[in-house]
Amino acid sequence: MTRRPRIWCGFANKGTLDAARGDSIGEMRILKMLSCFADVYYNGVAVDRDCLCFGAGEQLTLPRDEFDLYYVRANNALFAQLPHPKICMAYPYDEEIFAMADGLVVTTDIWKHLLLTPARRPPFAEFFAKWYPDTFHTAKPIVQFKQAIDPSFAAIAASDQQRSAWRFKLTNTDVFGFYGRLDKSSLPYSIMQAAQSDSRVLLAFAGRIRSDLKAEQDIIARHVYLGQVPYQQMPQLIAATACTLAGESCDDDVLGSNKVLDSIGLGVPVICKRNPVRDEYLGADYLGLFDDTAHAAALLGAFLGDRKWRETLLAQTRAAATRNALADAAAYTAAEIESLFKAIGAR
Amino acid sequence: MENAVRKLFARLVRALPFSLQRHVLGVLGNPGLGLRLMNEELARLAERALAVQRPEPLPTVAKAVVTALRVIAPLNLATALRGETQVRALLAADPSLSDFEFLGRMARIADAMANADPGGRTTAPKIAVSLALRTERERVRLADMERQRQLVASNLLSLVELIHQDDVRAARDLLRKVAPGLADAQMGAGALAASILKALPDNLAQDPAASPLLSHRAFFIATVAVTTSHDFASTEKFAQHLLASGPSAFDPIRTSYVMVLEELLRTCGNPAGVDHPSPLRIAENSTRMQTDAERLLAPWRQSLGYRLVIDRETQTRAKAATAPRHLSAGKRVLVITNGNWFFLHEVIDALENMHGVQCRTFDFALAQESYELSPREAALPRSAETSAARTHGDSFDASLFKQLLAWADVIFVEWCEWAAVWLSDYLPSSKRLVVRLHSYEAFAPTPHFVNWANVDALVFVADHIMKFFNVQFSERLTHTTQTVIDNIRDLGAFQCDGEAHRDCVLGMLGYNNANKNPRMALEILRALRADDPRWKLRLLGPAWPEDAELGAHELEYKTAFFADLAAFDLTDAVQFVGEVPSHAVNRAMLDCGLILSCSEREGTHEAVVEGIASGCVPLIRNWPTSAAYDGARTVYAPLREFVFDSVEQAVATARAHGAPDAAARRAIAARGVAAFDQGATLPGLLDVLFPAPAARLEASRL
Repeated sequence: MTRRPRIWCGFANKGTLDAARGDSIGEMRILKMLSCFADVYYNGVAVDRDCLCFGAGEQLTLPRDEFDLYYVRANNALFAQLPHPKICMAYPYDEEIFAMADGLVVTTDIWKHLLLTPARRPPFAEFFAKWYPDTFHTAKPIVQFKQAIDPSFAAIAASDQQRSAWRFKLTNTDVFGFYGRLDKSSLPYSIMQAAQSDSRVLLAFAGRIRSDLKAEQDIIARHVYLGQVPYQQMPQLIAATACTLAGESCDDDVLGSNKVLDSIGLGVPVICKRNPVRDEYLGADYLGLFDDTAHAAALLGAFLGDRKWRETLLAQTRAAATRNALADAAAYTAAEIESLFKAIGAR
Repeated sequence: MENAVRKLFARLVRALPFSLQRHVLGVLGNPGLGLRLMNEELARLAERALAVQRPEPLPTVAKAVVTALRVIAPLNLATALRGETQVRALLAADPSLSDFEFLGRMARIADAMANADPGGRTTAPKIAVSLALRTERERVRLADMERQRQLVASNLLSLVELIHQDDVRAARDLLRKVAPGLADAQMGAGALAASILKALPDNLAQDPAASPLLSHRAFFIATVAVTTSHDFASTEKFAQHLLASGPSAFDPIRTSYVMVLEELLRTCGNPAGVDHPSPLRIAENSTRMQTDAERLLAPWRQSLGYRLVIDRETQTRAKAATAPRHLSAGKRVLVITNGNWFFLHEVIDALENMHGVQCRTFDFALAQESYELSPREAALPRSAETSAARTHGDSFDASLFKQLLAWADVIFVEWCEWAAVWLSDYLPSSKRLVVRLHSYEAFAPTPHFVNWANVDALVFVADHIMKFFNVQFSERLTHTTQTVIDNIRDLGAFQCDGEAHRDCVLGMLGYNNANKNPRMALEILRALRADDPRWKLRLLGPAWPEDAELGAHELEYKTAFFADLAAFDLTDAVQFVGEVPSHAVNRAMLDCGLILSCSEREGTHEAVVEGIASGCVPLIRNWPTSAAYDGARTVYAPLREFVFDSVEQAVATARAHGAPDAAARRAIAARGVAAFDQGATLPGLLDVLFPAPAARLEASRL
């Protein structure tokens, strides 16, 4: 029987990881997924999937023991001091760090292909221009840390009364919710435009309105604005939402989306712009994927007016949730890491 | 260290307006996380603050502290401060810093400055205000006059706030540095505050950008005047002065009178008063009010503020008389509350299941969030629209809130607080406005500001609350139908068993404050255990707050509770169970044999109903604030034999019913469910929401 790999992890300069911020939440989920098949240590402390925070202390410190693999995100100084084999997230680009790494980590299938196959890049030129030099090419192994539904997130949504209270805050009707960063690059503009022509459509926003959103504030005021909602209350809010929305930025086209996974994990369908990531999570035939504003308007209308269509969407949502289970993502990632070890001759 | 941090955190949160407090606590998720945030940064930031070269960075820090401690839109000012070079440099170290974290840092730096002050005689806010004032005074001489005048005004208002927070002498010392003549004049606190206001630039009132400052000044002034003079008459005089001298676009009177009235209720005929946030909830005060309301409320009823309120109601009635009301027979109901939906679940479920009824909901707290309505601002008739126009252009006209109000035929407002005040002024008379008042509102100043001429129906959850309310308001309720309808509860799923382990176990669900009076529970337990050591007490619900989070009155009570616990030697007989989620209440009650209510004041005491439905024998104190009306015996009429007036009675009842058999427990539960389940109470509420045509006609004639 093969021994479980031991992986040492670090993120930014956080000695302890908790669910205080979006990026930490994403990282914690990766660690939970890795811990399904590996002994994962965050800042030297073994990761317990059921704990609310990982690691200890204020700052990251170099590991004292030896590990099979070191994975660090957003801490170049620490990464440089770590022994091999070590891997880092494949963005943001840093020539020195990428050169030092034994492999690069991505979270989606399309991201991996874009790094490996320059010919596929043109439709994603904006993303590439944002994160990589024009001539970027790597021969390093690319490892996909597959994202998955976080069962502990869905488990929070247990109380009917709290869910009802959120539904009342959402004015006790079917609402399309966009929850997260509210700035120019993140908003679902196609949906917001489509909503303007259909008075039945009510949107809900949660998150801090960033200063670049002056013009959009009027639109937000015409819908439900919930302010900032703590992470612990998000499952109930999502569960009280009829349908969730997702962003339309170039990053959304390539990077992963916990927002989509959280929603389907709670059985709440998603209406969002089609891109390869969403095809990967939801399936290319998922009814909630739209290609342009007119299509988005049609989907909103169908959701509100066509019961059969909605039932089909719900069934597809449940099926997608099954496909994105934690155990499957872990098995996939375990194979990716095994491939990495083979490629670099480790273990 | 942790206590200091906790205090700092509590102070910072308290300094924010209500809507932001909620926001901040929400963002932080839980106080523990907040505390850790503070702890992690504290030492490092204090060190950094002490290392800075004076005096260069201090003005910036000072302004930031003013910002952090201000009541006026601190987040907006924090955003503005981000433009400052030195603040930018500070933020560059961590660009992802949230506004709250930023404010927290500023507050911590201020504390570090205070600690570093060798004299130890001045506090961080004072240093901050002093420096900020000096700096801004100098800047006023520069070219950008208008903007700088506002900054001066802002800082002067901070000074007023300082007077409130601390003492007049300290403020006067500070003021001497910037306006020597003013500071040395012989005058009381109210007059001093008025003088400070006079120092505001004359044309400030015409400047829309200054309106947030103006809209708060009456609040500060009233606070200062009331808290320093404890004198209704001088405060009233001052409010009149404000009305006479204030800019026409601003109505200070109601925000001022909230403070005035709070003070009136605080003293309530008792010159010594009691340091309590809701003084009328103190039993002796409410008793005084019950017996001598006319005299106690006379200063208020003779005041300018009261006359304004009554004038408004008279105008509404006159308007209704010339244009008779045509209440819609429609059944579109909008249910509004202010963040607390706890008692509405069954109501909304029932409405949704009624044929022909459409039910939408709106959280007034979100209106405050979206349109910058502070609770006090919400008391102003025009504030929602003016505030919305100020911040969102014409978005309020198109806002969801306004659309829902236009859509609805019936507006059901839960809790008689600021949403009710605002809607009673705002709603056209064609809308049916129904307000439900639970308990605490009857002891608060808020209902004094409701335009009762525009409220069609007032629902009370208990008869004694209605009676107490009418002692204060009967002459203003001539237009309003009053009905007592118990809370709507679904008790159908409650289980009851007769397990012997429940015998001789007292239960108290919700105990951690003076009103719940767990000290009486200890007295009862001690007496019971004198004969039978099997008796135990289970205390269910959130633990006591930390000392630093409690006001003087609550802290004194908490201390006394734990002293009793030790002195009565009950440590092993009392079990602190912890918080019980609502879905687990029935399960938790099955471990208790008797459900205890020792409260000073209650409307219905829901925990008792839940206990009864679980088969607990009730032991209900005849709540002192409503003893004159036999409040508990009226609410629990079907089980009135279990209401007690003294500890001795409670002990006797407990001994007699401490170990009933399963059939007896089931019988108690059945009596409770028959009386208190929604099957018995819901029809009454629906009748109020949708009165029969004859009743509507009658209402329209009034």
